[in-house]
Amino acid sequence: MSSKLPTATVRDAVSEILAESQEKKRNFQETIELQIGLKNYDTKKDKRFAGSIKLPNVPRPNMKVAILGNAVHVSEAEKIGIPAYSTDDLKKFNKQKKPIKKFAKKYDAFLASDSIIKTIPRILGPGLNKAGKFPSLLSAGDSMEEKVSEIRSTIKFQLKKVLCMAAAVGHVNMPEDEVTANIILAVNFLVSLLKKNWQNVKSLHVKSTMGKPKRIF
Amino acid sequence: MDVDLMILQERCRKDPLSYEDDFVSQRRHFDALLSAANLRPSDANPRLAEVASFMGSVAHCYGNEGIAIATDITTFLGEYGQAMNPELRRSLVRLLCLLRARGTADPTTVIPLFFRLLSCNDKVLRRMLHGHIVSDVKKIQNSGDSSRKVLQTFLFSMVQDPSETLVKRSLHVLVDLFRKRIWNDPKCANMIATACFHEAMPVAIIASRFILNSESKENTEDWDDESDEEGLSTARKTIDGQKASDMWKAYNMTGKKSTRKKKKMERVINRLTRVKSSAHSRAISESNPGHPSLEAMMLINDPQEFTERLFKDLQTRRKRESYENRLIFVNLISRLVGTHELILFSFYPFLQRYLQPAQPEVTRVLAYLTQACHDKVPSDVLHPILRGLADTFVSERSSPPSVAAGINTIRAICSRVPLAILDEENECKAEREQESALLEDLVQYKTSKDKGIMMAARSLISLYREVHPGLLQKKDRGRAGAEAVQKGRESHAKAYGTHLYAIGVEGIELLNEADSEGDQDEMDSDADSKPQPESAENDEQVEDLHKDDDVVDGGAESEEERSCEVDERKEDTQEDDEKGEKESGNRLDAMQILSNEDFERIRLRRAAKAIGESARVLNAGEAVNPDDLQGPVRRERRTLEERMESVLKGREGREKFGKRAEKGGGSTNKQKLKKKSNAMVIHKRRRKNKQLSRRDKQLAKRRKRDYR
Repeated sequence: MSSKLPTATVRDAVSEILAESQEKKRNFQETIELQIGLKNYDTKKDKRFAGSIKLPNVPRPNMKVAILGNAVHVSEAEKIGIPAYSTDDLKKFNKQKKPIKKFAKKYDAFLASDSIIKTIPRILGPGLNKAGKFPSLLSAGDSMEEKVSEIRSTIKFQLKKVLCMAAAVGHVNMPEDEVTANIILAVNFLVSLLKKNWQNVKSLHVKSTMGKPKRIF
Repeated sequence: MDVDLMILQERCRKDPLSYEDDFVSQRRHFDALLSAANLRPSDANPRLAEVASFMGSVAHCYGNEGIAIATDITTFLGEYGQAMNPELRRSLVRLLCLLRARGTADPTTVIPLFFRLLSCNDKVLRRMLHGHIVSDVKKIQNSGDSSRKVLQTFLFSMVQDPSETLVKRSLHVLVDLFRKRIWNDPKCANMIATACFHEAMPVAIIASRFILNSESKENTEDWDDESDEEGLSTARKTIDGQKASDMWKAYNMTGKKSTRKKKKMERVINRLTRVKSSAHSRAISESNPGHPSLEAMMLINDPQEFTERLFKDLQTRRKRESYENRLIFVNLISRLVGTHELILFSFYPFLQRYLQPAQPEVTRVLAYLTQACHDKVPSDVLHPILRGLADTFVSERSSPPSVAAGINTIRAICSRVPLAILDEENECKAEREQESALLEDLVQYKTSKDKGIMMAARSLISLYREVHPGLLQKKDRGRAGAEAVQKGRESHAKAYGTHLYAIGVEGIELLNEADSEGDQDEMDSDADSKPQPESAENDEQVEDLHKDDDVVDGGAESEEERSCEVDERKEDTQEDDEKGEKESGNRLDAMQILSNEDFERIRLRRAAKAIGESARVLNAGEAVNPDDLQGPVRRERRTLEERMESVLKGREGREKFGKRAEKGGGSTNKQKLKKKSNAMVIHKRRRKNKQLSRRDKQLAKRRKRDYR
């Protein structure tokens, strides 16, 4: 088996996917997903790995991000139209599990100001953490828009209970080059995380939400 | 009689048809015996046992007879199983096992029966049953039989049984099945995990020990769960080992040694051991490809709820349990908190009660405290704990080992949560002004006379040199730390909640360097187009180049020729850069797929540049070994009794005032030759060197003659 995946294969797969999505338009923006199967992975010997990487091009522009902030950040967020919650809003949940769960479900990610991030586990309890949406830090000096786009372009690889993973690497309205670059970077990063590099990779598939999966490795 | 039965058995097997009449008569006899035993089951009944073993080995030759016998025995055992004579019971169980192995008995009735028999007061029987259940389930699992589901639901229902002993025994079976990777799915793990909340402590202990250490084959205390198969494999292994060591011995004793022979020998021995292990692992991976062997800890559903419930139990229901047992639960909770990064802030103050140097097993408590610390714990939760640790352990009043343990624990916690060493006010300050009184105090111990304390303090310093050198005093920062502080970069630990992410493959620039090493010409262009994480900087670079170009273009015509080459090169770079901008910041790892060789090269370069592992713990959730926190333990001088004991032990199997064993024969000729003094051999050696060829000898002789 060749240990190297030619760039041309990726390019072909991406162009096919894009063409297919053009043929049959859906009523929403389809996401392009990278699916990974692992092999020879000894969960006892090799540590569980987790890594996040920022892709060069934003793969999920429609990702919903909410700000949990102090007064300054809340007013700034309202200006640019990002949903924002102050500490008082959060205290209204009164640590009830159901509403917090619903709240966590509503958004894909959270940002919290540096002055209140520490109090968030105390105010909201473990709900956000349980949903895997623990807020990231938004310091006073950071530009909010930049931070939000940073979150939108960061993907996470994490091995859970099964030996396969998936990550969003783009959407069908992106130019082909950008999708390809994203995929290549994601694959390279993932393979660099694995102990035996390509020897641990069983399969790589690329697919759009409604399209057919394309095997590239 | 017995001999007759044996002969009949042999004949029935060889020629079932012609001995059918004998079999039928025996069958009738067996029925009669069984109905007689129905009346008085507690009697020993050797005859029934004999006939039963005959039936077991022959029944499969006579079609449906086996099934009928199996149902007879199942009902009999089900009715009188508990009150029976143990000998008879064992022989009947053995018969059922045999019938099961031949496939004549139905597993869905036999295994439940066996489970009920597990509560019998007969250790030998229990071991037999356990081994049989495990191997039977394995067989059924591999065959893909439909009874698999039924069995699984039955086994899981046993865990909720009211009888404590039965739950215990069935837990052992489930644990064994999980460890042998027969049922290592999340469902099984969660089923065992529910037993953590069982009222009976022994049951809960078995379950929590399992979650803590689901991988080990270690036996639990009151149960030796070595089934036949496992015993067999270990026996085989020892046989192999014996064989290998015999071969080595034979090799060393006999024949001439050479590298070639030695290598050949090694190859043979390797093959002896290797082939089997690989075959074994392949069998495992083939048996259930869907389930990777994960730790049970990872498989628990909704760890947050689970842990909260465990913690509540520990504080209420299990308050009166023994300290040792409660420590097991503390360990379990802390491992769960660390592995799943749970938020359970009340756990830390709860532990603080036990953090006294005089507390028994305090190093274990310290280790559990450390396990429970992870990224998502805010430092203001942990700071009071650290303070308390410093106050109780690290003071003049406490003994040196406890001081060392205290500092080591603080170091271990800070390697997970570096900011925990700052108190509330200091954390709000700007990075430059941050200081930690606690850290300063602890660092003072670096000159301690006690080795353990000194080492602990130094390791604390080296940790902060890496994660937050600004907190240390100037002289303690070290070279790298001081540099970092001067540049103001990386001199502070990352704030709570910072989301760390990579921009690409780690060390990819090293690969780039390697490519440009060959041709110096492209060196600077490469350096320009080197991957820059911030796209903003890249923008600036491009703009700079534009300016440069403008200057060159606007220069005098005469200059153009001279700068032609430079110009071209710059334009190249610029083009490259612009293309890079379009294509994702021009990173090599976004342009092409790296191969295994590339990764290997990066690894080598990194090793050469000595980019080491960081002291900061990135992957929390591992178990912490209490011994690591203890510091070096100096061996005490042994008492007279201990010394005498070892002396006497040395004298065992030796004659009184014994001489050394006779070697016999003295030294060999070779050894003697080596020992000879130089003066004795020098003449011989000279002569040896002077050996003339035949022709020379002839000439010499002739010369001698002529001279005469």
